[in-house]
Amino acid sequence: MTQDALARAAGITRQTIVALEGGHYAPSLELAMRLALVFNRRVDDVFFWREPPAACNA
Amino acid sequence: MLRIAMVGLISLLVGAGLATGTGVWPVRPGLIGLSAMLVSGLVVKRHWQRLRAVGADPGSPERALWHGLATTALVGGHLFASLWVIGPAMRLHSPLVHDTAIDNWTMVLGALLSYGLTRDREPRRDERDRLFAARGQRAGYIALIGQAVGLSLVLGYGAGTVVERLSQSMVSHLLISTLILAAVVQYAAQLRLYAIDHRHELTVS
Repeated sequence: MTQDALARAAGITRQTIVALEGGHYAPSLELAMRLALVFNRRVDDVFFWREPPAACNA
Repeated sequence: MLRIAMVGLISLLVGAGLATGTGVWPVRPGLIGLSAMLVSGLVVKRHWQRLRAVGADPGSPERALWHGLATTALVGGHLFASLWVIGPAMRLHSPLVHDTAIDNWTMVLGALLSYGLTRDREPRRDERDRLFAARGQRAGYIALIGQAVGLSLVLGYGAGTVVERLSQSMVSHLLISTLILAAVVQYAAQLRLYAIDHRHELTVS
């Protein structure tokens, strides 16, 4: 799926897809859920920490 | 960031330069400004079309911001320089002021026409654009408030200075100038956010 096709499916711009893929834009919960829906995946299958921030460790 | 500053500054200077030609040049400066906006609009449109072919074109909001920055700075530069030339005791219905107003409004028309040329035919914006817009509006608001405070102090404590000679129409045009400057600050602030994003794209890719 191209960036443009993904953007249209999720109702956002291609530039936002680029920003998301680059990891320098955090989507809103609604957007995250829409993107997960497009991929037919759970939200935490699409968006997850590679390294959880230290402040979040239990 | 440098590109944003250059576009703003060059547009401002071109506008200011056009103000020197009112009633002097054989062609109305307003028409020159209008033509310059249309020509540069066509050039920019071609450039964005080439970028679109490689998937690197700016989105609809960013295009509008570049256009807004360039045209607002140009119209503003013309207004600021004209007010300086006209002087504090500006009379609204004098030949020079009439000519200046016609030129300025001609350039506003040029800005509207060039927007029609450069706008994205399939405009799209999303939450990221709205976030950048909110931050830009905050910067514009701060710029406007800062100018309002400064202007109120100058007008309030300006007895015995050039402020005393300011005519009513000059004061009103100074207020208009603050709106134009605040708009330029807003556009530049939003474009800065897009520029930071693009820098990340280059780093990641």
